[in-house]
Amino acid sequence: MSDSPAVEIDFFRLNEEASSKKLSPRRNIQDVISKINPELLKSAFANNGFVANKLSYASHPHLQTLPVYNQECSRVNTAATATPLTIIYNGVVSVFDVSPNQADNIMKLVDAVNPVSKTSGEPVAVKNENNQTPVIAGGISKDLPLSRKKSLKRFLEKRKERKESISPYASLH
Amino acid sequence: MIHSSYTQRWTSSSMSDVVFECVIPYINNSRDRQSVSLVCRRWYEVEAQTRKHVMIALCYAATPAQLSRRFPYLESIKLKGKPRAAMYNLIPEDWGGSVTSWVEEIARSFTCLKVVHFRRMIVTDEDLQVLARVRGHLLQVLKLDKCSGFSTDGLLHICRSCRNLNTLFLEESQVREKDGEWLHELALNNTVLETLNFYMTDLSQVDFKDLELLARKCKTLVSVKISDCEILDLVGFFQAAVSLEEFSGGCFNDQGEDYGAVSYPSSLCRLGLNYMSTNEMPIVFPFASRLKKLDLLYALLDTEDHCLLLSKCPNLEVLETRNVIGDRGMEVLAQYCKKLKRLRIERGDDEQEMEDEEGIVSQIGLTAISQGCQDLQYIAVYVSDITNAALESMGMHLKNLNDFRLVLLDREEVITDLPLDNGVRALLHGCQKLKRFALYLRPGGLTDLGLTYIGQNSQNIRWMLLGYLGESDEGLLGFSKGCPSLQKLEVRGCCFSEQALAIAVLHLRSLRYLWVQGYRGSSNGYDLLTMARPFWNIEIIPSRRVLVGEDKEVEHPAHILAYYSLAGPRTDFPPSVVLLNSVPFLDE
Repeated sequence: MSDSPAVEIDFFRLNEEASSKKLSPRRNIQDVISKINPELLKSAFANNGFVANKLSYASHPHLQTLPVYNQECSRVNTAATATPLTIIYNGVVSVFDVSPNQADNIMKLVDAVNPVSKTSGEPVAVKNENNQTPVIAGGISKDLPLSRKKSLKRFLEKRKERKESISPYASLH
Repeated sequence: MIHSSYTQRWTSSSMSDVVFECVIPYINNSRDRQSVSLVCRRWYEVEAQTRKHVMIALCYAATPAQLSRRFPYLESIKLKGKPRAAMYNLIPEDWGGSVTSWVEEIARSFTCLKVVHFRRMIVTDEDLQVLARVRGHLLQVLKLDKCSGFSTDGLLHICRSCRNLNTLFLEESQVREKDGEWLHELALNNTVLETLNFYMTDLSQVDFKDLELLARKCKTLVSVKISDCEILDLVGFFQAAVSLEEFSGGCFNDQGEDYGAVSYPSSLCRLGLNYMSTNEMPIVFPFASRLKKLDLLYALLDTEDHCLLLSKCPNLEVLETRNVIGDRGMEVLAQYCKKLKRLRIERGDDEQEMEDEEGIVSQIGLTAISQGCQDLQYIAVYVSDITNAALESMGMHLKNLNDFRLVLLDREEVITDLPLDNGVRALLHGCQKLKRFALYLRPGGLTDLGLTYIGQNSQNIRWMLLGYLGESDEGLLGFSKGCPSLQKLEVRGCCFSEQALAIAVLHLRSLRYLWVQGYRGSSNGYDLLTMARPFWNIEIIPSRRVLVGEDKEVEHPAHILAYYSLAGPRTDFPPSVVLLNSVPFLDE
């Protein structure tokens, strides 16, 4: 893929679809930006160059540089006491850097409004201090035994049943 | 393509247009068509209008409307839903992959559609009813391949309305059975059936007399694979099915009866007789020399039986069986079955008494096969032991290999020769035609260097499964610098971090689909977003406890599923799936 295509041809008419389905990202961003912690926003824009670098792996040069949350950015600029707070709501994962006080307040709010529930669509706020296991941690190898193919598993079960029904006391073979 | 009016002046571009339009119908390879469509707008349009078949490897990669807008005259569609891991009971049943929106589009737009193939998807009776009503008259092929969600009522709609059906394929689908009416309707209404397959379904209320009727009416019936049905009841069927070449299924229930009296069609050359044991095996001997394909996956033969039977099959091209075949059986194959092209050796029972104690396959069998069956194109094998030399031998002799899958069973504590770095490198280096590759070992089975070798030596490989390979993120990063053609990657049981996985994805330039189970999560679960980019969906199935049996619970580690999509993030995900978006605080 070339680095700077001269013309963008919308073969798949995605822009039409995107605009009919949801608000164009630019308009919506304004609403959202006003609700974000100004410290975070400042840091994101200040490090715009850094963000662009991170995204340079993808070969989409006309990508809009939206203020993508960036762990490195937050470490550089925000207060030393801020820790990540992960919120899962309606199937979307969001991470915010907040001070412990703010985190406590948010947790209290959530508890007051809704009981904490992992399986429903309710908001689940989990405070992550330093090295606590994350909400969506991957498991490490030892939990993964070889799993059997469905069709074969079924056959082996059936074979056992047959053996037991024909000669339940006989030794095998 | 007929042009009714030409201008007097033929420019060179209109000349090439005409030529191109005459040529394009002969181009059937999807990759070629893909290249052709990128040349210019005109070629894109002509290609789109003449495309006959599309396979969408993950149904969430595009919307039905997008498909019909680009390819309005499709005659054949194949869609896949659940990740391949679903075949191993690893994916929640409600994960997704419903065909409803696709069937609606088929009813609305695809007026030329003759062939429908849904694989690992959820199909309802209503979907089948719509399909039957709107496209029933045209439909020639319907394949509900490892699907679920429908009942025999849905099949009834199809069998009543689709009189031009030449293929009805239901293999391994979970069908709610109410009765055997659907088969009866099929037998009444159809005279052109060539392939009937309800193998590995639990459909037990089908009447063998309907099978017989079908065989009598459909002179071109070539392939029949059924569920468990007593072989002695099929005598009439076998007599009527004069063109039959392929048969699988049935079972042998009656211990005392003479199964040798059953006569099989003279053109039968692809066979799979379930629950066939040592006693019944001789019925195959009279026509064993004709056999091109043998399915012994669900037979009850031991190692000695395999040796005896296979020595009588010099024309065998395809063999599927369990590892009860043993190294000895592999040696027999190598000696007698020189035309072997496809070999699949599945994992038998773990319980000692249930399988022959000789029933293990190791480097001995593999080496024999590599030397004896040099036409081999596909090999999938569960081994109990392995060496570098065996892999080197395969690399040296199996020049036609395009699909290699090896799983090292976890029962033996000590393996003869690990790590397999050199053997794997030699195998990949020698088998230049490899397009699919799966290697599933154990910790210590392949070092980071070995994993890097894989990356360096897989020019043409499009799909890979890596199981318990490598030692650290270094290995994955080394691997990801190679594999230029890798489109689909599955990773299980490896020790890679989210960050390394994300970076690897960004390096693998052809990658469009990633599935991972078992990885090192980051402290905030967010490192995966390193691979965030437009059109790239990232989904997670968090770790969950799954009920196994009556009261035992098993922990299933988290999965990552990431793929390119023109359709945006999924909107139909169940509670067990979590979506990660690149900009998480934008409203959906």
